[in-house]
Amino acid sequence: MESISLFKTCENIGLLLNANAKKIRKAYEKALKSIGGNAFECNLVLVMVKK
Amino acid sequence: MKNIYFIEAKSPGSHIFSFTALPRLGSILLATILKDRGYNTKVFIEDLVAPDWKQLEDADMICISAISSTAIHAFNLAERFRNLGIPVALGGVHSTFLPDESLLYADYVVRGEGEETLVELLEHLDAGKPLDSIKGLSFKNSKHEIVHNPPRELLKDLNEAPIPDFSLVYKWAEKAKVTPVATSRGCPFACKFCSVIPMFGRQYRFKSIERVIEELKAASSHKGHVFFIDDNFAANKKRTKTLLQAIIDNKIKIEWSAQVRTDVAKDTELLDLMKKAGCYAVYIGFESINPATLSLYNKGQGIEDIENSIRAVKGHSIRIHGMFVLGSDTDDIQTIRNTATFAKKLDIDSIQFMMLTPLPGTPVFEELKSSGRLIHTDWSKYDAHHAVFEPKLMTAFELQVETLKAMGKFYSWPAIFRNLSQFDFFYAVVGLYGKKSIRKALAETKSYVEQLKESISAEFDRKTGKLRQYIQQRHGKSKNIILNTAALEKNESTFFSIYLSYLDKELIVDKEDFKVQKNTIAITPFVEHIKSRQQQGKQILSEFYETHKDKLASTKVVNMESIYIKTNWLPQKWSIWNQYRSSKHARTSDCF
Repeated sequence: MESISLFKTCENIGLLLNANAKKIRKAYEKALKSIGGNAFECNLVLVMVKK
Repeated sequence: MKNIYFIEAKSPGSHIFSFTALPRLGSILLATILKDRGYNTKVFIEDLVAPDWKQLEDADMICISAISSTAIHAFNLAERFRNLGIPVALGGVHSTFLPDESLLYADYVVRGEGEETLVELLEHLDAGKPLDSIKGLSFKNSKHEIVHNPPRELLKDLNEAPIPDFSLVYKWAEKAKVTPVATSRGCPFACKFCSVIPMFGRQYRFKSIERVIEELKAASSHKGHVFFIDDNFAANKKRTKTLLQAIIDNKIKIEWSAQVRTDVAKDTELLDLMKKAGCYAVYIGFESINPATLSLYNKGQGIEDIENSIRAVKGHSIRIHGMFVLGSDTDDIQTIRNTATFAKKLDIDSIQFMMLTPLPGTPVFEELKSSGRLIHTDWSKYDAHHAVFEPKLMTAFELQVETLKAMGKFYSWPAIFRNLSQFDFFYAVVGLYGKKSIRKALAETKSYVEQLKESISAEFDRKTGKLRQYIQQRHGKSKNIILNTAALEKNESTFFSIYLSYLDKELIVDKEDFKVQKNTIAITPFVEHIKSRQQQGKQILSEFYETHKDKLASTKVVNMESIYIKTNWLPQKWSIWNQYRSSKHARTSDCF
């Protein structure tokens, strides 16, 4: 999955895991706070599932 | 052709200053030029009063001026008159940058400044001459092919154009409360979201002081307020001071407002002259309180400039209407909330929180269009009061809702009562109108907000071929998420661990094992700082595959963005993945 920012990466992962937008926002902000509030660059995630 | 009528198409929605309709000058100026050449002209400004449709049907040509937000209504009007057999010319910023679209609805498009182009068009049509020598004109030839003639040079001497004759505007004397006066065109700055430079150029062109004084004398005879419609009234401070001194010396008694930048505050002499010359309020494009955003916009100002300008302007008893543009790639939800707090704290008289709007012709439009981030091109929503693109650090839904909330925070009852207690009835009324317009905007945008909310998951499903449903059916009960990347550092592991725990998933960091178990989902984030910024996602994935191909031997790869295109769901340039997809080993698991 390609995204335009870490937030959008998290949004895509969250949607994939069936979370709603509000929950995704809350989870993202808590996670960001845990690393001092500075987002790192992550625009690409490989997701693998067993078929 | 004798009767040439102009229409300035109405705005699609309401905003804080809807109660003082502020017409643009283009149509009025062009109508004046044609009147001086013997045509019978009339201007209908829909935001001022409903046009006399019966009179309009007598037109030999209808000229419609539109900006992006009024373009769709302008197209409807154009179709209406063409169906009556009346030729239609479209002009204005929107048609200038998207002439092909406008030619679906109109016969002619006048691109850029229209003073000379429109006159030549009418002369050529009357004389039956071919149109291909008219610079700045787009039209369809006899074979119905679209022809774009070369662009016309910008007017060199603004004094050549006549003084706009407001008596040509339908019901002007009865309805108009504000008279627009232009003293210059162009702007020497280069804000990325602004269409002034692509339309009017970076070179600052201005009328002579004598000419502006003549226009102001004419305007002062009409009761009401003068608005200097210049994009930057004080771009050349020396010239602005001379003009202000001339207003004072000529004893022109007007109350006026103008658009300026924060840099006016650095010049006390200028502010003194502005006040003495009758300045009531200034419209300042603060744009943002986020330094990264100011830099991104090429704004050339900092937070200190904003704060100092507010203090200095208010210190001269001049009112401030602050304009902020929210939603840049460096703005998040907190930026919007902080902006509302900032505006309240510094006691700005009135504000507009606008959403970044990618207007055709601007660098922002090109950037967002090329990266596929425009949500739609319903131009009626390109009015700075609708989120029309996918922001980087929030959803479009969040941008829309948070901006309206910020407006609500500013136009509050305590602020209205404070103005009343200070006998400041005008701004008390502005506050009340602000509250009313927010209520109206909430009602008007309700279904749009719902659409934006629903589009978050709908768009994701569209792009991923409903992969979400597939995963939920097959792996819905999976609690474990394996984070398996060899280069992920502690900070990133912590981030994803906490993020996933809030989604009720447990993160298992496994740096080496790429086997995907039945009840697990594996994610491998690629953190950009470990790779070159220049690398595209596909390149990074290709390299990753090369490095780990022994472990990934049994994987089938699907590009998530393209999966919904069934016949060609993997781009050809992903050759490595294409080769692999067609191999007999592509069986065991799917990678997305």
